[in-house]
Amino acid sequence: MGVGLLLPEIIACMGGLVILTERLFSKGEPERKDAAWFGASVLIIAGVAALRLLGVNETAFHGSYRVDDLAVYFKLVAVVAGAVTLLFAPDLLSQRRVKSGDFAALVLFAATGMMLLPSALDFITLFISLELISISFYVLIGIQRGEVRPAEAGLKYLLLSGLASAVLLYGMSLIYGLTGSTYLTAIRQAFSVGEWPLLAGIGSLMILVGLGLKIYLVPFHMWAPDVYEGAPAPTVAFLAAGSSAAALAAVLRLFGESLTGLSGVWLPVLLILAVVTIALGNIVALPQTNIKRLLAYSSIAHAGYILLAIVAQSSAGTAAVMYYCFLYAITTVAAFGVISAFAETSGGEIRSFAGLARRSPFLAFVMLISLASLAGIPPLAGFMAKFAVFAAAVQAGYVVAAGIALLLSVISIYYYFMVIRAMYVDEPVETAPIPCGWGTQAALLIGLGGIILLGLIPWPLLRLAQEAANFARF
Amino acid sequence: MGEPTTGKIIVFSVLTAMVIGGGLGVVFLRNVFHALVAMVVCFLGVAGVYFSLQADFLAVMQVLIYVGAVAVVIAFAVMLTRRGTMADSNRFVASGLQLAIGAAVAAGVGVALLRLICETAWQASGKFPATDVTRFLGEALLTRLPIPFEIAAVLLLVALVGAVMIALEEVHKS
Repeated sequence: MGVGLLLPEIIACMGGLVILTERLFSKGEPERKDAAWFGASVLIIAGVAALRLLGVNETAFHGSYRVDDLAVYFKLVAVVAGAVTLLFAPDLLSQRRVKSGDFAALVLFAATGMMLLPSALDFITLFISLELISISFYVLIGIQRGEVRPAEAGLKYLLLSGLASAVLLYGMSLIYGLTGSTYLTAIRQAFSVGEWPLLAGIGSLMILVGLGLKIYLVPFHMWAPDVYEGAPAPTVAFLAAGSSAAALAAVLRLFGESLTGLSGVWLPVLLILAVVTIALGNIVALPQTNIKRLLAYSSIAHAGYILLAIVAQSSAGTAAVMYYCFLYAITTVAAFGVISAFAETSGGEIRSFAGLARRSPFLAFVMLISLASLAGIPPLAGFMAKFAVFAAAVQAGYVVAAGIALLLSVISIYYYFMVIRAMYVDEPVETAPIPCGWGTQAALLIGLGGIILLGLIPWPLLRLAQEAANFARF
Repeated sequence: MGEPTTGKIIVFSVLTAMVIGGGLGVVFLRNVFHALVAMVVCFLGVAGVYFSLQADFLAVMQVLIYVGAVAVVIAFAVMLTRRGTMADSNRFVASGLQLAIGAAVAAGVGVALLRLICETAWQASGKFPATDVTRFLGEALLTRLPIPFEIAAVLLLVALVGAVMIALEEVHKS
């Protein structure tokens, strides 16, 4: 099939190029939203192209690129996150005088990287896909010109992400030096038999650190609250939903399949860090007063749950990671859609949510459902995802870790309900209704439908994840 | 391979001094322009290391892209965005406790890695070093690694266009 395997990526990348070319000939007034709609439709077409690759299971380019159900699944997560973000983004961006064409092109390029990353089967492809995502986000975070906060957030992400990339490359070069190959399959074989030097373990830890920044692993999470607060809400939605899912796919490939021989070194470290990540995320979220900082710590906590499923090292664990990523993507995008429509203009303080239910019942309801889903309240999708993760961890024998995670996730209900209480119980400070463009409404309806449907009927997606996870071993 | 000769040791020492000295200069010089010159020295040292490892193509690219293009672009950026006096432009120089902690951690990691690297039995290829590296690299990029090759093009485009997106408006205003 050759190039046909790359069709979704080619479509997304071409879409970005078309938008950039169009911007050459137009003034690109910030009021215009058509570029974002165009970008969303391109991503949907790319998603259809990706769906056609389900069940293909082929390796191409001398074993450096693999399309299997796991890769296709993560491509779909990137497509959904990007398309829904592009639906609600222009409403806010036009207020901020950001050209939606610029934003849409960067989202498409980042989505190209996110679709390539889960398929990458060698270090070079993997690294360069990851860098494509990072570079797009450096710009997306600082895209609001002339303001201090976004610029600070962009610079912070640039510096820390650059440092993480350097450590990642160091780790990869150590592994390459020891095995003589950049291919994940060859590396897996090299470490599957006999003794390996301690340096290989150090190399695997360095790779974990390099990817750890992207997946909110404590103590490499420092950037998250500042970036969430400083960057515009649509950027944060795509960052939280898409970038971490793609990086988790790379973690699954590397640590679930390729570096399993070295698990004696990295598995205990990852287990401890996963528990610390869950604890820190949930506990530091409690005193937050800003909704975006709160959701940053919530992202960290959720990353911890997902890592627990990776630690399980089983196909049930892999399936749980996949299911969680999809659900988390759609929930986060919905929550940030509401923030984009409302809280960005009011500074994002939780107390400004007071009485939102009376000012805009629709926004308040979407926020209620997404927060309840993040808290893991049945029958919403978040409950099924957490259940799958904890079940995988217990099956693998990590009962204590799963118990701690369960306890801490009960704490998390408190801070999610603080926001819900403000929306439904507190008296509104202002009474003016909140305008909501149809793009935002469509995006929020998709998010709402996804959360409720995936909660009530989780089996199709869960089965897809399970089959993909069973097949993913190479 | 074989035992290092005196000449090799001298070359290696000079190159190492350039790389490390240049790097320290970037971190510690108070004038951003001096720091840039130190960075060029560091880049040239790295290019020399590549040459001594028979990676000619990489060395030439290092000189062309980093010493040539990147350093010049940074020089332009510094000159175009200059504010205040140049002599005190690099104000984020670490001091006191930060420096001590950073140096201790770096030294610890460095010593540990160095020991492990010396103890480890590395994979050595029995093949002779290739004489025309460029041809092999080109073949590899177009047969085994076409995806990274293409994505690198997209990545550079995004970096370029992104930099314009962030910077252009302010140029218009001023």
